[in-house]
Amino acid sequence: MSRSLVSSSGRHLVATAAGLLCLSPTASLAQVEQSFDFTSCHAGVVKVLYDDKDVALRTAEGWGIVMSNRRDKLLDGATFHVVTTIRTVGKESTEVGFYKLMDSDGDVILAEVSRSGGEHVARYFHGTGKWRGIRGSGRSERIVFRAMPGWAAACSRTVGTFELPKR
Amino acid sequence: MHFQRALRMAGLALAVSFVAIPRARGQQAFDFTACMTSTLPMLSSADGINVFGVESKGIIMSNPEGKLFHNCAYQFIGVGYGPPGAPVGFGYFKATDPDDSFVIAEFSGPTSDLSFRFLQGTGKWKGVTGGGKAVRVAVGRPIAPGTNQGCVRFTGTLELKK
Repeated sequence: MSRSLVSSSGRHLVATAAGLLCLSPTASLAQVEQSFDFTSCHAGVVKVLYDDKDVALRTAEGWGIVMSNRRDKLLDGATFHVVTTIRTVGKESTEVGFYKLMDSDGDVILAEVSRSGGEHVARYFHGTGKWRGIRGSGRSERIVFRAMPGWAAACSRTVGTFELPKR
Repeated sequence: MHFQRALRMAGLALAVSFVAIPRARGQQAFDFTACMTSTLPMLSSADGINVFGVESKGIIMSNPEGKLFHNCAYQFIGVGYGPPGAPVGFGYFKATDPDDSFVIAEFSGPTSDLSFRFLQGTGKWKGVTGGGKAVRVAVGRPIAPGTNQGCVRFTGTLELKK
């Protein structure tokens, strides 16, 4: 259920994603590469900075949870907080922001999220505890999305890989 | 020959009537997962017992893909009472379809055995009755103080007045 803050048919909303890992056998000497596949769902608020027939500028903030699609259940139940800005010019939208993902131990992963058109990408650039030194990325695809008066919610599936320093 | 054909037709008609009865009554099974973020204002916390409110917003995914309630917006307002992690709750949820039709259901019980029943519906859900059980399928460490994030799986049946 994880995805990234997204937009829908001209209206933009937030969907966020998180990542889940699966140890793969492709370990280098210095790093361990892991793949992940999870579904993330979140709900939050969208604020309008500017909106006319040509251009809209919005911010979105959401809170959600991750469900792993893998047997190892890594990151299952991890929660996240995402903040993004969304620019819409005509029918084209771009979205950039950050999210904080926290696992059940309280260890954190930070990611930069971006969307251009229909493509959603998360880039993992910082971690604490067991995620220290994380690097990687995931691509998201929206499953469901709703924009309601004053709030929005979405679920997405995210698939990707990341590397952790071998310890 | 004619008698045998008539018998076959009668048997077929009987079988069809049995199969058709549940549909004629509009009874449908559903199975969906609602994921949400909640705020929990605390009214009291003493002697290991919490008394609190809950307001949740989220979204629904049908477990059979694209079936009943898929892509409904989910809202819940309720109260809880009991020890941390095992309260007894009561409240109401609203599931709003993309066409703005919605159902309202009453929700109650301990977190380990939640049940709900439909109270009303609008649009395509007008006259809805039925209900079912709900089980928490994902719960995480709160990402912000005073909040909670989780997913609940709902299963049951509903019937629509013809």
